[in-house]
Amino acid sequence: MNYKLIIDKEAEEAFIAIVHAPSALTEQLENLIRSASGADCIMGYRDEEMRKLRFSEIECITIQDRKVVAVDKSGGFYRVHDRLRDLEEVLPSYFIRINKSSLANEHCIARFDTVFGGGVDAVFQCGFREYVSRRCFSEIRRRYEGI
Amino acid sequence: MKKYAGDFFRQGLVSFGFGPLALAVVYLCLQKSGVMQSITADEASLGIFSTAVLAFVIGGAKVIYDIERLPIMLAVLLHGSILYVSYITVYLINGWLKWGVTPVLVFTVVFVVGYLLIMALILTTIKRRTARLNKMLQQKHQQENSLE
Repeated sequence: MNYKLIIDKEAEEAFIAIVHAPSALTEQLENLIRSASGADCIMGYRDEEMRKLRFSEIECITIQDRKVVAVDKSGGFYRVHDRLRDLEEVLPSYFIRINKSSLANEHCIARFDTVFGGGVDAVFQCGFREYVSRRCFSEIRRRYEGI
Repeated sequence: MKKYAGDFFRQGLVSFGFGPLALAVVYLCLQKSGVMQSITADEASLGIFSTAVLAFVIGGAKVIYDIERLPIMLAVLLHGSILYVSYITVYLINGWLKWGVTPVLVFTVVFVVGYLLIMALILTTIKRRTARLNKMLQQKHQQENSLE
């Protein structure tokens, strides 16, 4: 893999990586760049508490009682003011859609469980579980088959 | 729910013409094979109307599989129940299945066994796919750990 650094004071700063497939390296690069530009977190609210939630701390973002909530690594629920659709655009590529109202941090998925009725649940490291829709299950399979 | 009701109606409308068409093919086959030579106007109209309704329900019932929150087995069970009630009603009112315990029981057993086989196959496939996905997930986690 070649490395090229172009220093141009006139051009807009950007990191562009040309790769054959996303990998752990591209994820690390993405995290580093987001972290350096301060775009690696969202604000989470719980009771009177307001917390900066780094993307890597979030296990799942889902909708509960028509409100967007983020589940962190300790299993805490934080209300998020952004819409799920908007979040999907800013979240790193390791956040995958598991159903129409949930985005999962794939690093934090402990396993997938078959449940009664033939459904599949994603079980997170904090113990939180959320169903995986049939359509998303196929997409996740296709995503991992490249490994 | 409104969306699914609309989809049920739309898909039902797309399918309902196929009922009488299938009926015409069956009547033609029966006539060519010498089983049946003629039918009364009552029998023909009842057959046409009932198969149109049957096709409408069967076509519309496919919407069950679009309900994301519904696990596949429950969707199959619900779909099977709708199909069973629709088929047995149409068969009985047209006289294609004789009224009585034995014919209904035979039809029911064949239908239930068929559906159980389908459900067993689906469950086995889901379990196998989930196990495979878990394996791939582990591989991905291992790759990430080795890079770190």
